[in-house]
Amino acid sequence: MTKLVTPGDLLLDRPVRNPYTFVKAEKTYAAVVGMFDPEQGRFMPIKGSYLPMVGDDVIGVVEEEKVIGYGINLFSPYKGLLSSKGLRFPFEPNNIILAQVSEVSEVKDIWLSRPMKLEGGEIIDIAPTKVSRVIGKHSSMLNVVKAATKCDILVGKNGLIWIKGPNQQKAAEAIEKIDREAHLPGLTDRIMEFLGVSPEEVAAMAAQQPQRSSFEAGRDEGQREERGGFGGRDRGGFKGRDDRGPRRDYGDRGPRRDYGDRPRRDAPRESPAGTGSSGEQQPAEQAQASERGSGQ
Amino acid sequence: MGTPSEQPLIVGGKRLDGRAMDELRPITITAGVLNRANGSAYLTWGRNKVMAAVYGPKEVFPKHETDPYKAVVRCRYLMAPFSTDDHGRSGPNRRSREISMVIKEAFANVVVAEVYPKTAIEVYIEILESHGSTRVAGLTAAAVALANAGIPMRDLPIGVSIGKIDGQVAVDMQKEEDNFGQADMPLAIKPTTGEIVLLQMDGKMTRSEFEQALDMAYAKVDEIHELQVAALKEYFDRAAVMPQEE
Repeated sequence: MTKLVTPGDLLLDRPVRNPYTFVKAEKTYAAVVGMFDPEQGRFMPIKGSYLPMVGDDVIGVVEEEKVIGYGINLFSPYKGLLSSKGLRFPFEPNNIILAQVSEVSEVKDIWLSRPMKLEGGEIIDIAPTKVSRVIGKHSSMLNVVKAATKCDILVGKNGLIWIKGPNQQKAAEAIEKIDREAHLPGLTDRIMEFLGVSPEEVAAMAAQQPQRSSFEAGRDEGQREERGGFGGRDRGGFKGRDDRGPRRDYGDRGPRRDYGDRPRRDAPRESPAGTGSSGEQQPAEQAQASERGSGQ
Repeated sequence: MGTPSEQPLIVGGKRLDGRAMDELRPITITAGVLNRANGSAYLTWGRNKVMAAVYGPKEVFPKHETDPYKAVVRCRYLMAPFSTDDHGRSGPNRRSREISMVIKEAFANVVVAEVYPKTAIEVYIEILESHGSTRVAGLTAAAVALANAGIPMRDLPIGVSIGKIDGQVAVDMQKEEDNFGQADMPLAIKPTTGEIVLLQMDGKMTRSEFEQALDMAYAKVDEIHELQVAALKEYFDRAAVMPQEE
């Protein structure tokens, strides 16, 4: 039996760290208003802002173009950043995109990758804590809404949902209903009733309408995983003004790797060629090589 | 506390509004009354009317006030010009800035600010009608608004005021008792632990009176806390059946 808990209520006798709970004296307490199921130990906060996690698929609106890329409004306390490096298509302000969180820094800079522009459709905004209810177990809830309204629906972990299809309005209403009633039991049945479909119909419709993978197909895979610095495209050559300051100190690199005492593989190969340019050096190298070789 | 009273504040063992010494004025709390705020609450406490709104967590402006390790809690307490008998001046004044500061510090002890670094959580308390003890009424309403906004908190603090009128310690000062009584002490308490997050005192009380006052305050904590919890519960039941208009 789930019950409503308010900040400061005891949840568990063991410590569980979570943004919506806090731990005091090895016990877990609720930090927000939510529904708690003591049998399963499940706690569902009713409201809360989106907290970024690496790997989350999020939907956002391109807000501004910067030198390094784009600032993305994720409808969360923190802005997303999308590097324009390696992007195949430019974006424009007010474009709606789906992207994956690739990095969250200590100070909550959210770096996004694999962007995909969402054309047309509409976005609605729900509480990020209820995204899991909109999707449902093995995306059961989402399949009901998709099948009944024949809409393409993409759910961002940050609480933005993109809907496109013939019955956009109905789908939006259904999702808003899920958002409102997420803490009440028997939700899937009520949504099916709301959409006027039976479970059998949903199953039939889902079978008829194969899972479209628009989600993956439209991703900008051209965005390369590339880092500045050593190697790669930027190697060598003129690197601009000499204002980079002193060379970084790499410290003591420790003893050289042990290659054994065999001769260097390239040493004997060079010696028979015997071209004149480095003639003086070669005998020395050869001597060294033979010295090493004799040791074997 | 102001000038001593010329007329008695206690008549026949009852206070001016007929309350006993340890009786609160009637309190009602409604959560989620504003659509554009992340969380809100409307509270009436006797003749006090208070609206509290919470915005955030959101970006900090001005930027230099950002704390990279935790959220910044901000508070603005304001009395509407029409909230008192005499029409007041609008905008903040010395008194409201002080109250804003003490309430902010009370909430800074309660909000789990580490969850949302680099953000600001803004609490607005507007006193629409005042009739004594508005800072504790505002704090009680703001706690509900914060919970309504989904801000992580270690507790749901409550406010209550204690005072001394005609030589007797009484709970929940109303305007006349505050103005003409001998002492006034607003308190904010975390109900689950009993910790005090706000304590001010104006006037004079002896040590034994102070201890009696604390006991009276603690006796009222649960009563007020239950009203806060009921308001939050009522909000989420209501939100489930009523479509929210945008």
